[in-house]
Amino acid sequence: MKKLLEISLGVVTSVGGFLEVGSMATAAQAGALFGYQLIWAVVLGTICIIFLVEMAGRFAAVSHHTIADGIRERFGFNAFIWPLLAVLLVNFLVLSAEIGGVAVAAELATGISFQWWALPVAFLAWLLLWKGTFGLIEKGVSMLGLVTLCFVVAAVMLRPEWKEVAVGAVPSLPHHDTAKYWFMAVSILGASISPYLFMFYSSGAIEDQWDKSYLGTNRAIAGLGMSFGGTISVGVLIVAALVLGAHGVTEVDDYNQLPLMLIPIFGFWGFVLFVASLAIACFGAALEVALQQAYLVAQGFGWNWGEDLKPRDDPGFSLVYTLTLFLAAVPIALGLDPLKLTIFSMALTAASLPLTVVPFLFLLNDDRYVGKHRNGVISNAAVIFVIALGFVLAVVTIPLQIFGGT
Amino acid sequence: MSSIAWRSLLLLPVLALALASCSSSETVEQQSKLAASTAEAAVLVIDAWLSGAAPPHYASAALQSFAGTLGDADRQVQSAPSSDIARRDALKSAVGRVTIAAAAAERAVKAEQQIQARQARQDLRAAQADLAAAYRQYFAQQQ
Amino acid sequence: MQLLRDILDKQVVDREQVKIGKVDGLVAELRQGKPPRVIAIELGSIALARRLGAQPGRWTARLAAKLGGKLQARPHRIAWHKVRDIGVDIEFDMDVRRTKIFAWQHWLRDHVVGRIPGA
Repeated sequence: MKKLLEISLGVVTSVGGFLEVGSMATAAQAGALFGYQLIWAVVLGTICIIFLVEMAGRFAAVSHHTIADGIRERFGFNAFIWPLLAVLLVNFLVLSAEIGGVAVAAELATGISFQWWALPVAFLAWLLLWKGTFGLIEKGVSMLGLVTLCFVVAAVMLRPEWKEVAVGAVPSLPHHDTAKYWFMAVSILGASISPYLFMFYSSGAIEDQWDKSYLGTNRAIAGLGMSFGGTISVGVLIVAALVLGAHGVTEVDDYNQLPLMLIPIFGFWGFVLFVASLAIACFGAALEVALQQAYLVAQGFGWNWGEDLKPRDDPGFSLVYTLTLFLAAVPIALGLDPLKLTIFSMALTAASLPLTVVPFLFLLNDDRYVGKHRNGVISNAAVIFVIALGFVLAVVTIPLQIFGGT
Repeated sequence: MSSIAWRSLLLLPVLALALASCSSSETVEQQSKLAASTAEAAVLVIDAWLSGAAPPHYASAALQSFAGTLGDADRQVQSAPSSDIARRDALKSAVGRVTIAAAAAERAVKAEQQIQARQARQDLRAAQADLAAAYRQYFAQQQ
Repeated sequence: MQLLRDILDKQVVDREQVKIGKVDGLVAELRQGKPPRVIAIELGSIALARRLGAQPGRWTARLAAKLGGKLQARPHRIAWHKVRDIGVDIEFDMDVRRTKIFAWQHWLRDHVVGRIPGA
């Protein structure tokens, strides 16, 4: 019974934690411009993150190491420093985007420009980390994140042609806007496979003192939680296709267009639901990314860490998330467009994945860490394939997008 | 990260070539598409506002932002050189009308004038239809 | 046991299980006619910077000395004979509070973090 409760709680947590500004924005753009055609990217990204999250939990439960601990111990500091720097940078951009997401939600709700909201949002997030405990943050905020299920409800209410939706789950070549198509595929992959997600999960497993008896629980949480999360992303994509795309709104590059997804379905409540979804999902993600940044530094250098400790007992750890949060708010406060930043950081995430995932895969195949609980051929192959695809696409399309090629 | 940076650097000359080969017709194409999409979004916002589903502060902020985007697109289309003057002019005039209608809608929503907002929506729809027709003609010619 | 593989970069804890840092460096004693013997581990930013190269090591040492005084100009060392257990972490029979290793964390606690309400 306790295990069942744990599983459902874990699933709820990952559903709430899955959708953030990245998946929302990329799915909305893709649905508006390409209809259902890019659903395959969401599916592929979700499969990959299921494997990675399961691995992260298994690694923590069996070896009692977090991923950062493991990579540094196995490969030495001189190799560890590259994934460390890459993840710190990517996390920073993603955190900035999440703060931007909450700020945009606040602007939509109040009419006061998002720039003014960046610092208050960062402060509120900081206050929760400073005073709160891991359980409060992980469970409380993610529970609220279930409001994002409104996108699934909306998608079902729109009665899409499910056959066409299924066709979209199979990769196909674009008929128009080829460069944009692949760039969006990359951004979707990057939004689904966020390194902070599985690294945070491994830290959480250590904080909750998982052991081998949690392996089944872990598999259920990873599989169910991430599939539900992916379902919400597909929901956003379907809604964007049927509401925005069908009305001729194909270029979603202004965040003011986003609430229009739900208004035709739920009326004024659609506006409220959209603003609430955006605010809660991004705020939850901002908390997780800021914490993950502190975990990463503390674990990498061997400091005391733990969200349940008082800040005075782990001053280094607390200082990292404090600085990260406020620094990440600066670009938004200066007026950087949150939507552009989001799309860009998602693509960059995809490009950075090999640096974190490849060493991680080595650990999962090293019996000194995971003993007989090593990876199977399928999980290795699936993850390597998706990561390689994301990397190649990112390296080709990011420059094209930045320099405005065709 | 460094390997990625290097590979991106290697791609730069290729990109420069690709950029140089981009013709002005692509600017016109991109901007007309953007204008059409933004105009449709403006119509959706006006509809939402008229039916009371969108709060006034959001509707006017969104329309202001869309009008800004349309203004930029209009400027870029107006300044793009083209070989076929008549067809280009049709496109230019349509983008221009969409832009004007969006600005009118913004003013109407700000002043909370429903009648003017309805009128602006009608103008937007009409200009939008002309834009779509001009766009099809313009690119039928190019291909 | 392979030293570099099994010891370097492992988590170090004291006898109270307080996380002190990672094994950032090893100090070995060369003995004539016998294999070298590990006499201590090193930890801290200087030891870490030395692994990136001699130059970063010197810079970090100079910076540490400037910020923390002469006592901080060398990497922290823990004698190998104090090792108690090698598992997920390496446990040393020592009390970190009696060392200078946490000087910077204490400084942070007293001057920055501790001054923020709610810490």
